[in-house]
Amino acid sequence: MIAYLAYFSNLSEDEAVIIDKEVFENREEIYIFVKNLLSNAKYKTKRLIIVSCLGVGLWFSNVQRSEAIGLSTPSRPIVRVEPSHEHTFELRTTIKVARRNNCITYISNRKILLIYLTDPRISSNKEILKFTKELQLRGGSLSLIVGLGLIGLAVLIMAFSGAEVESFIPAPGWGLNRPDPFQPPGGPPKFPPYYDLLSPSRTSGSPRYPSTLQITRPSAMPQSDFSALSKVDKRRLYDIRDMKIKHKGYPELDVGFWQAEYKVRKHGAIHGLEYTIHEKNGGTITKKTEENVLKMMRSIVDLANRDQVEWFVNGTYQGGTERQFEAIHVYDPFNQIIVVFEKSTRKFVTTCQLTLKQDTELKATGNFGGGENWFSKQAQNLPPLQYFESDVKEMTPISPMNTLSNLGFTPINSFESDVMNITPRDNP
Amino acid sequence: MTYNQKRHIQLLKLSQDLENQGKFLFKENPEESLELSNYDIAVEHHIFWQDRYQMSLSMEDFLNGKIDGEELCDRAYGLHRNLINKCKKFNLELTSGSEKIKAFQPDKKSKDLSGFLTAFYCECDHFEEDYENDEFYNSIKTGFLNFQKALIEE
Repeated sequence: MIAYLAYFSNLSEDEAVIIDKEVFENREEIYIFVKNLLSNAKYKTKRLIIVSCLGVGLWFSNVQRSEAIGLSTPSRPIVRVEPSHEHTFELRTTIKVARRNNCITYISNRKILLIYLTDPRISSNKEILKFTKELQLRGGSLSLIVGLGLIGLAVLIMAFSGAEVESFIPAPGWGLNRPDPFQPPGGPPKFPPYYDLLSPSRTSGSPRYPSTLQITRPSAMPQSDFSALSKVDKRRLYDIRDMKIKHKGYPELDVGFWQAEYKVRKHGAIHGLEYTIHEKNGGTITKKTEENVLKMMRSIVDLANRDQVEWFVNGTYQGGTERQFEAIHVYDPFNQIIVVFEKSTRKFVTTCQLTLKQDTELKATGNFGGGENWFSKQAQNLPPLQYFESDVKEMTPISPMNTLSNLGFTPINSFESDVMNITPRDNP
Repeated sequence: MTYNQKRHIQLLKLSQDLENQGKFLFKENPEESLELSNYDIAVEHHIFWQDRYQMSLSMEDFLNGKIDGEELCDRAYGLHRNLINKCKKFNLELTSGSEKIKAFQPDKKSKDLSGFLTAFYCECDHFEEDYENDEFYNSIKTGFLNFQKALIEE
């Protein structure tokens, strides 16, 4: 669907015929023809229109080459890790799509402006249709100026709101030199304090340190299937930046980009990435950027290819707990850094620097994690929790608040509240 | 096991010499490696045991809503990292013949908290970035109660 808006004055008959012909041939839904516009307008209006049009012409005359503008996903390098011990990186880039030149054409000062837009959403936009009707009715120069503004506004709104903009380019050079042209420049968005009250995305369940990276839906996967995936499954989706570990004599392993992105904030420091230390708690924080994620992934691949690394192909993770699974561990004993892979999928799970006890246990049993069931209700080296709690209840009188539990009050366990100083959380 | 500091220092030096040659004690002499590990773990237990009330307070703060899961786990990661660093520093002091730790003996009660920090670390690692749920809360509550019981029994 194509919309033409043409304004001109004092055209020769031949020129008018050419434009009439062009417009007529391509017309499908809308066309507007305002003849002798400038000659009817007042001097100030004429000057304003000419200045506006010259400005628009200059603005779009500085057309520069752009990277994959018009794709819904940005172009980015593909990093592949090839065979094992001699790991090499193969760099590929996505196919560049040439930008279209049919946005706006400035013809001459006589044929003042010809706007040629091919996006169907523009030609069918209600505001534009309304504007064209008004223009036809009034035919005045004020409407024209206001209308131009409206078109510009509508175009900008569509450009920013549409996730699948295919052919529209908002302005020359827009989106260049940014990994994601649909992200505003200047880093993650900063919200004013009142935003927490307004935005549903900033609920208590949202991560405190959100990543600017977002898991993208594979093109072959329907949106409904993608939406139905759990967070864990989404992080397992194939990404073009995924890396592989191929080491002779050992299973091939996948280092997924999204799982690495998930782990980089807390575990990036042990892989030599830049980090800050939390003043109060001593934890390390690495920024979640694409660069850092790729660095950590390369560190993991490099680790697996070191000579002295230990492979535990029949290992377990969190052995003895409900979360136990068979794992392949790749372990650097010099630096005591482990990388855990799920054996069934060969996918990267987590990475950690081991304490001396963890190191010893890993070497002796092939297990990492679990910790003797301190956090499950049936602790291995302790009496069952129920027995323990009932024992304590005999020592401490039950709070009279418990009698109100049937009335909807939060029951307070005497052991927790009186002995441990815990205020139990409300039941959901 | 009785902690023997002289033997600990001897094995540490042996292990370091081998590492400088690109070798590992656990490959060259598994028995001595196991003996060294036992001494190392005894020291590690003691260092963590010294931080036990800090650990307990962190969990209590979380259960009482004073801090959120993110903060709790940052503390756990911080303790884990500090434990590794303190143990390395301690071993350096041992091999350098520091007078300060000549009389060191690990507290026997310290081994009763064995494995707790590993379990705590794994809980945080499992729920990473998704701490605002009942499963995590209940898990920490269970861990806290088990931990308190161990402290009471000391």
